[in-house]
Amino acid sequence: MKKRRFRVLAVIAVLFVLTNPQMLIGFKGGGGASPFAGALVLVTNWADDTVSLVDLEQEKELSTIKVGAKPYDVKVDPDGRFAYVTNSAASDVSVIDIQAMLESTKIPTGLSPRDIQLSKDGKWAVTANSGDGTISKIDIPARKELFKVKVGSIPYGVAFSNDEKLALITNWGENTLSVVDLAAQKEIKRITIGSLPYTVVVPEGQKFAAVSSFGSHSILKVNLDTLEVASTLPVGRSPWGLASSGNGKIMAAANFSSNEISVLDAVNFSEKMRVKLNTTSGPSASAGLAAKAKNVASNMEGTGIVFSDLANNTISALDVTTGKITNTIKVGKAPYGIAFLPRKK
Amino acid sequence: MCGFHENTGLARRYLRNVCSLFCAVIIVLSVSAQNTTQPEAEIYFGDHIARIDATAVAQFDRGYQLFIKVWNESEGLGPNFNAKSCANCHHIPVPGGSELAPHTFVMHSLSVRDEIGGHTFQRFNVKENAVGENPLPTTYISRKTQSLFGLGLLETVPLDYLTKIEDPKDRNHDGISGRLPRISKGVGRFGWKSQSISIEEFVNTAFTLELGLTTSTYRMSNAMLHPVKGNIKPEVSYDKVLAVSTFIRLLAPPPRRTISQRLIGGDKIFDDIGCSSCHKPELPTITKVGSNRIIHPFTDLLLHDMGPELRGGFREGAASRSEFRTAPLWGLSSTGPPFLHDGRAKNIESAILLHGGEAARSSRAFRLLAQDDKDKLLEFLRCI
Repeated sequence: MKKRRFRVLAVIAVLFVLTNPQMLIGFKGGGGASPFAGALVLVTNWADDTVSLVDLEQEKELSTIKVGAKPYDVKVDPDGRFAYVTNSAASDVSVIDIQAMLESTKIPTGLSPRDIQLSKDGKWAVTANSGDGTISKIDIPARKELFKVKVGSIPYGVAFSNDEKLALITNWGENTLSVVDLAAQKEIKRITIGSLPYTVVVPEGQKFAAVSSFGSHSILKVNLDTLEVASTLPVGRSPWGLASSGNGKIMAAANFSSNEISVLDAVNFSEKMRVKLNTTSGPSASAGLAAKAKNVASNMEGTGIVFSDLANNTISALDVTTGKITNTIKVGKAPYGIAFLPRKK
Repeated sequence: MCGFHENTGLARRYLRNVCSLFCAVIIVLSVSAQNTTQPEAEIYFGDHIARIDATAVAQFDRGYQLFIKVWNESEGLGPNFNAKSCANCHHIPVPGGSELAPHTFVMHSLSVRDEIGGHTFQRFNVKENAVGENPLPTTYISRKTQSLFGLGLLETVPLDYLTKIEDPKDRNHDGISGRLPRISKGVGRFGWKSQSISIEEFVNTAFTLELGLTTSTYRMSNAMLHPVKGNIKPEVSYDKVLAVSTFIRLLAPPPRRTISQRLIGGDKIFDDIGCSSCHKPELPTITKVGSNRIIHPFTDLLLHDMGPELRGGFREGAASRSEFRTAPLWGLSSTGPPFLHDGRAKNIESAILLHGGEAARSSRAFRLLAQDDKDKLLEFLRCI
C-alpha cells in the first residue's frame, strides 16, 4: 500500500513539474541567457497613484513611490538617475529620484498629460496634454515648462523624428497626427490617421513613425520625408501601447481587446510574431484569465519585451527569441506606463 | 547482508520522505501561485457583458464603431456642439468611460435654452466650415461626464423593486427619504439628476446637444439658435441611435479590484456608517427573457436631498436644486479625480465630506472614524 502511495505521489509530482515548469525556483525557460538578466523597470500604477520599481530577473517589486493623480506614462533619463511620470488627472509631471526612490518635485504642464518623450540627451521633454489639446516642451535641468503648442483634440502620444526637430503627436479625439516643428513652436501639418490613434514611435534610425490605431486594429506607417501615411499593418484588436527597441529593429504592440502582443519587424514593417496571452506559459494562462495588455516596452536589443496587464495588475516579460512569457510580477492597480532602466555599465 | 537491508530500507524511507515533502511543496507552491493570480476581473472596462451570442457581439461592435466615430461638418456636425464624437467625452479609461479634465465638462446655464427645452450650453460652432468657440454664458454650472459601464444592467432593475424601496416621507424615520423621479415621460433612471428615462433617450439627447446632430426624435438642428423649417431628414438615423444604445446597453460593468490584505474590512465600515442606505451594494435585475442576477452598482437609483452642501443650478426633471440620484459607485476609482457631479471634490475623501442633507449623518460618522478605518473604507471604495 505504502509503495503504491509513494508511486502515485511521485507520478503527481512529475506531472506537476512537467505542466508547471515555471514553478521551479530559478526556472526562466527557453535556455540560454535571459534577456531580462539584471533588468529593472519602472511601472506607473494608474489606479493607485504610485510607481513600482521592479526587478524582472528576481520577479520582485522592489519598492513603490507615491506620485500625482492617475500616473500615466514614465520615461527614464539616459543615466538612469531620474524618471519623469505624467500625472493624467493633474497638470504636471512627477520627477522621481531613482536612487532615493522618491518624488523630488513636480513640473507643471498642460492639462491631463498622457505620453511623455525625452530627448536623447535627457535635457528636454515633450508631453501630450489630452485635457487642453496642447503639447508642453519641458526644460529638464531647469525643471520648468518652456512653451506650449496647440495641436488637435485629445492628444495622447508623442515621439520625435530621429533628428529631434519634429514632434509627432497623436490626436486621439479626432483621428489625426500633428507634426510640430519644435524650433518654430508651430504645428506644420495634421495628417488623418486611422481611428483612435494612441501611441506613436519612431524607431531609432528609421525614416518613419508608427502609430497604433486602437479603433482600426492596425499599426500605421507614416513616411517622415513626405509626412503621409505609407501603409497599414493589421495586428490584433485594439492596439494601445506601442514600443520600439533601442536599436530600432523591433517594435511591439499591446493588443488590448484580443489579449495579444504583436512583435513587429521594424525594418520590414511586418508582423514577426503574435503571442496570445491566454495560451502562453504565463501565470495568466494557468489561472485562465483574460489578460488586458495595455502597454509595452522593449530592451535595447529587441530580445525582451515587457507588457502591463490591466486585468491582472501584473507586468510580464516576453522572450522574443522563444516567444514565451518567462516572468510575471504583481504590481499596483492598473499598471499603465513601463520603462526599462538603462543597464549599469 | 543484514546491514545492507537496513541501509536499503533507510534509503527507501529517506527517498519516500523526500518525495512526499517535494510533493507537498509542489502542491503548496501551486496553491499559492493560484492565489496570487486570482481573477480580479473576468471582464474588463470596454468589454461587452458575458454570455451574449454572436449576433449581439456583432451589434456591440457596430455600435462601438459609431460610438468612436468622429463626425464632421459635412455629416451634419453643428452648427453648435460640444464634441465631435461620443468617445471625446466618454474615454477614460477606455471608450465608454468618463472624463477627468474639468474644463471639458458640459456647462448648463439658465440663460441658455437648448432645442429640447433644457439648458445645455454648446461650446463650439461651425461657421463657414471653420470651428469657433461660442462666448461663455455669464453664469453656469458644470456637469462631469458620467461613465457608461454597466448602464444596461441598471436599466434592468425592476421598477417594482425601486417602488418598494423608495421612502419619500421617511416613514421608517431613518433620516433617508429617497424617491423615484417621476416625470411626464416616465420614471427617470440615468444622469446626475435622473433626467433620462432610457438609454435611447440619453443617446438621442447626446447626439442632438453634444454633437449637434439631428435624430428622428429631435429633428431640429440647433432649433433655438438656427431655426430649420420643414420635416428634415435626420442626420443620424434611428437605426444608428439604436446601434449606439445597444453598444451602451451591452457594455460590461466595471471590474472589481482586489483589496490590499492590510486594508480589508472597509465593506463593514461602509455599512456601519450608513453609506449603504443609499449606495446599495446589491440590486436585483430582470431581463426580458426572465433571467435575473444580482448586480453590485452601489446605488438605489433614487433621488435624495443632499442639502445646501451640494445645492446649485436649477430644477431638472423631477429633481430639485439639492436633489441628486445616488451615483453608482462601481468603478469609482476610474472615474476621478475629480469627483462629484461638478468635479468639486479632489479625492474620494473630500467627496464623502461634501455630502450633506440626507447623507450628513454618514459624512459626520466618516469624519469621526479612526485613520485606520478611514483608510480601509477608502481602499474599499477604490476597489468596488
